[in-house]
Amino acid sequence: METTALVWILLFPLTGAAVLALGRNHLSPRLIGALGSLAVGASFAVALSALGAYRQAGAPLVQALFTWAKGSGFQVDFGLLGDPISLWWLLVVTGVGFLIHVYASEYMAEDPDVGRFFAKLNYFVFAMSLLVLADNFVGLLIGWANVGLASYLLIGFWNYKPEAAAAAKKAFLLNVIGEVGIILALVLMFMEFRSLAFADVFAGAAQADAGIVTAVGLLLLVGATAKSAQLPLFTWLPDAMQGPTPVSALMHAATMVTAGVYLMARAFPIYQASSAALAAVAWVGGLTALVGAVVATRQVDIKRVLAYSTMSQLGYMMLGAGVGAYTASLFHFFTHAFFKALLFLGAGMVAHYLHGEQDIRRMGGLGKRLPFAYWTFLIGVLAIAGAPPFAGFFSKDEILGAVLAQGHVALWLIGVLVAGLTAYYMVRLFALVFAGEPAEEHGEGHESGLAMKLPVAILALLSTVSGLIAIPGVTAVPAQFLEPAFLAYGYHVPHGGIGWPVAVVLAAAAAGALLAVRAFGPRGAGRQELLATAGSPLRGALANAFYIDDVYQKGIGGLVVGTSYVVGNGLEPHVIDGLVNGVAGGVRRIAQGLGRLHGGYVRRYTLVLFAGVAVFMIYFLLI
Amino acid sequence: MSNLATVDLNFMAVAPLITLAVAALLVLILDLVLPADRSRPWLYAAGVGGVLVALLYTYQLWWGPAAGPAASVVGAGALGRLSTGIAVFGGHYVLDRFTLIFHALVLIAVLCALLMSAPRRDEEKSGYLALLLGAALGMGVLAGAGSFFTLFLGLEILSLNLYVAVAFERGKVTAQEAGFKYLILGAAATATMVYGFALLYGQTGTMALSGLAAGWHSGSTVLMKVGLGLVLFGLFFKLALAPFHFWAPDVYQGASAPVTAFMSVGTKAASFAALVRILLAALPEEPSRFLLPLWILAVLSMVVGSFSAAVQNNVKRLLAYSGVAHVGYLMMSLLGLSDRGVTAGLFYLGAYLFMNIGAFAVVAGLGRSGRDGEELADFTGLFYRRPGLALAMTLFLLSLAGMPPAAGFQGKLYLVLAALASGAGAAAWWLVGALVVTTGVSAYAYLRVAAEMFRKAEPAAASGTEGYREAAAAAHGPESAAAGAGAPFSWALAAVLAVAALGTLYLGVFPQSALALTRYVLPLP
Repeated sequence: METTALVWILLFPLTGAAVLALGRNHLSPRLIGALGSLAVGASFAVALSALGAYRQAGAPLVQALFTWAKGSGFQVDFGLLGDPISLWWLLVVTGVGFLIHVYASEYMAEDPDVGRFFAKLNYFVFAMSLLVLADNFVGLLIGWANVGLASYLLIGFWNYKPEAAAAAKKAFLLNVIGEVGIILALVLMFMEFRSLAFADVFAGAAQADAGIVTAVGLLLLVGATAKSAQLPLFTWLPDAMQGPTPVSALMHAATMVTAGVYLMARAFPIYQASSAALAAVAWVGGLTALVGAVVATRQVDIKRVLAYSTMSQLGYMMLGAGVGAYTASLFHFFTHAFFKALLFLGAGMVAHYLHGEQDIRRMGGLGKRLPFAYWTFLIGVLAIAGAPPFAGFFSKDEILGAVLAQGHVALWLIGVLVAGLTAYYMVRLFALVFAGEPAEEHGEGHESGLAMKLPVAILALLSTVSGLIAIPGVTAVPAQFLEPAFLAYGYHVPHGGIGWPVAVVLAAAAAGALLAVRAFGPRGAGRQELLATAGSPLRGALANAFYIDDVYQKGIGGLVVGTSYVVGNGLEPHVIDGLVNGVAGGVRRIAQGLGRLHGGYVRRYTLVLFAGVAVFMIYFLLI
Repeated sequence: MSNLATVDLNFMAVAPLITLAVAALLVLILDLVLPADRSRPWLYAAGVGGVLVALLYTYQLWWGPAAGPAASVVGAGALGRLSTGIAVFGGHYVLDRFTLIFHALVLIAVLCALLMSAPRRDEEKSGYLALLLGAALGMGVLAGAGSFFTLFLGLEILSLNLYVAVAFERGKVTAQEAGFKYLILGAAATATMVYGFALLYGQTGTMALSGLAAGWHSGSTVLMKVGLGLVLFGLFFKLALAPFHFWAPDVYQGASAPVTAFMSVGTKAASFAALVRILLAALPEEPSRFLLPLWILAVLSMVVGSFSAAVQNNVKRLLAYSGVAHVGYLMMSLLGLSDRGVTAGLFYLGAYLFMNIGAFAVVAGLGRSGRDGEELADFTGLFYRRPGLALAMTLFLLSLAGMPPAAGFQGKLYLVLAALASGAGAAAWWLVGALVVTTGVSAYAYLRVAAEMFRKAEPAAASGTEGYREAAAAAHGPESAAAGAGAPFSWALAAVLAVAALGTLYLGVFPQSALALTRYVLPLP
């Protein structure tokens, strides 16, 4: 159905970003927070009304904007598409985005650069909405690159901190690797389909050359691994926690990092046409879930625990997409957005109270002082650990059920193990932060105000009940809502059953939780051991994420530096410089030769003028 | 041709031109009537107002008579392909959308030139303004010429005005010299052209463009070939196509930035219009051999223009050579004389209008006390003094170098696509090859300036005894930094910069909208 409303979802945050960027030094912090939140709130309202329009029409909403470029044999139209997949993402991006904007209006109020912060945050909402609204791969790529820029700007928001600047750079560089993958995929796609519109590409995917489709699928996966922090391009995400906590909650937990999952779901006809690419998605997802969860068990920074947990949960989503269970994967994205945003905002409240302390070895006993944070964080922990009836229980089990139903026993076992590990590291985190006695005296911090508490309360509520929209055998809202988008290209999304596998997952989670309580409860042995190391960084492979980052830094960095040395001292001055200088010298000599004719004498000019005329007159006389 | 008694004197058809003439006269009269110390704003108001009214008339004519049926078009034959409009004044003037789109280009250019000169404190403002308006009038006549009479008339009106405008700055030796050179060489070119008219008249017995094609069918065609060649060379001179470009660097450097900006764009546009009309009207049925010299000149222009630009230290000279190269690119649009090609040419002129005027506006904006900011040294560290100006200049330079997302990239893309689709075979490949190679060379020329703007200026050396160059740099090094920072901000100049930057970006990002406009001019295949 044609509509004109979708573009407003983009225009509100874009206008907000422009107004805040221009007025950042003139508006009061309160007004800045209100304007920023209002812009995203308006976007959310439009997204809701678009949802209504979609349900009424029963057909995807489309809005043609303009023809981007037109040449012989190709045309790139630019339009917006409001189908179930994009509406699903939009509601979360703008809805959770709105809550986090409200939270940030208090959290960041003291920062002298609050205007710049909200301008960037609004810009991110614009870029992310563009990513999910575009009806073609060019628009998607533009949104993709823009969220990358927004991420760079916000991770490095405190640009006076060298770590923040370095983290921002790392995130940007790794994401550029992903973007190169996507651009290459687009080139191949255009060669094969002569179009970059979703409709043309997907309609032709089944008949296309198998090799090219597999290559396209793998190249898109490279993009997804970079954006969604999957193996092997995940190392930027833990560092990205240098950004302000609302940024971590919105971009590096709830929305931006799920863009890779969005790409997998959006381009599903490509993956359904190539079993090899699909299997690659599943294994990347499964292994990332495992690595993220294992590493999270040995982290001591509250935000890094959550970052590795995000990586692990994104692995679940990729795993779901990799076995073709898109509705389960997207449902987990939905619930994860709530409980992970909740956990990050809870961590933000703790850090706010402790004046920026993030080392969990220095916390403890905060349950009594911060009862609100205690209870809401507990809900988040229960949700992510998969305790019924909280949200994570239903969405995680849908994915694992589908994995087993598709016959991937090995991946299912990995999934079960990850469920146990998730419960373990989350309960460990909770126990260290809130239970027991305070590890250090921090003095009286101030508790959060209403603007921070209200969004957290709403997210806690959603983390509790949002799973209930998909109780197996009772309700199936995500499946019913999302199915048409996949049926449009003739794909039936598989679902898992219920029964003993659920019991196995629950048992694994319970075991993990019990182990954590035993070790890190108020008098647990592991707790004492860990607290003894306070003040120094943890050693070991787990605490350092298997040294993968060091391998990148030292190995690849060393390779680059070494090559640079050879090129810089051997190749460059002698070979390349010689070539360049030769060319430049040639240019210069030709130009000087020409310059000699330009003596500045009119008689010489006239001579050349008439000589030219004469030469060509002779030619005309001859032909 | 018809007798004067039966000529249709449709003055409405030339309303934009009459408006320009009236505005020029009004400026001169106001200068007489008003006291000298208070006349400046009024003179500018009259000039700018006149151009705006002329633009309004152009718009009106676009949807009015110019859109009319092709019934009354001059003659039949090749010219008819262009015209949906009407021929007036006995066929000497053609009012069609092709004419009007060039009017629009010229009027925008002269408007920008007027606004750019507003902050300059020259004496005898009225003469200067009238000259610019007069030159625009000549360009308008040239774009609508339907016969050799009007062609010559237009060419001379624009040339005579420009000769004086170039040399207008009294006491500036380079300006006087430039005007003189331009006059002498222009006179030589005009003589060549008039001789060509005579030969063509001898062959065809008519002065109307529409009667030219008949000349190929009457006995010997030697007069036809040579005559047409001579006429084309007159236009090549105005276009500054190599090797007829020698005047351009001296003149561009000598004239003030607003005049140069205007003449570089306006003269090229109007001469291109006349060139297209003549070629469409007069080409033999098998034109490939006849047009060979044009392709050679085009390649030569690209090479000479881009290579020479690479070694200039004066930005106005650099832009002059860049203009030579750009005319070479523009000539590619004439391959096969297809609608698609000419459309690409129109688009390219539109892009050139914005990016070139923008670049000259920056040069004017850096100027102070009667001198333009034209030396490369004036641009050193500009980004740290006036970031807005530096960013705008970067955009214009990128566009001139043909890089996305600016208009220059799309323009070149359309030229290449049109050339390859023109069926001109080897010539097209040679031209495209030359375009690609010289674009690379010219990127060096433009980015040199861009790099200069982002280089932090070193403190100027105090002693300057090691030769003229160092002495000169030391002499105005610190002054330029101080003056650059404190130069008076002009709203008129800022408006020109904004229009040029937006135009450059708009044509680069949404090229389709401008192409749709040219579709009214030429029915696309």
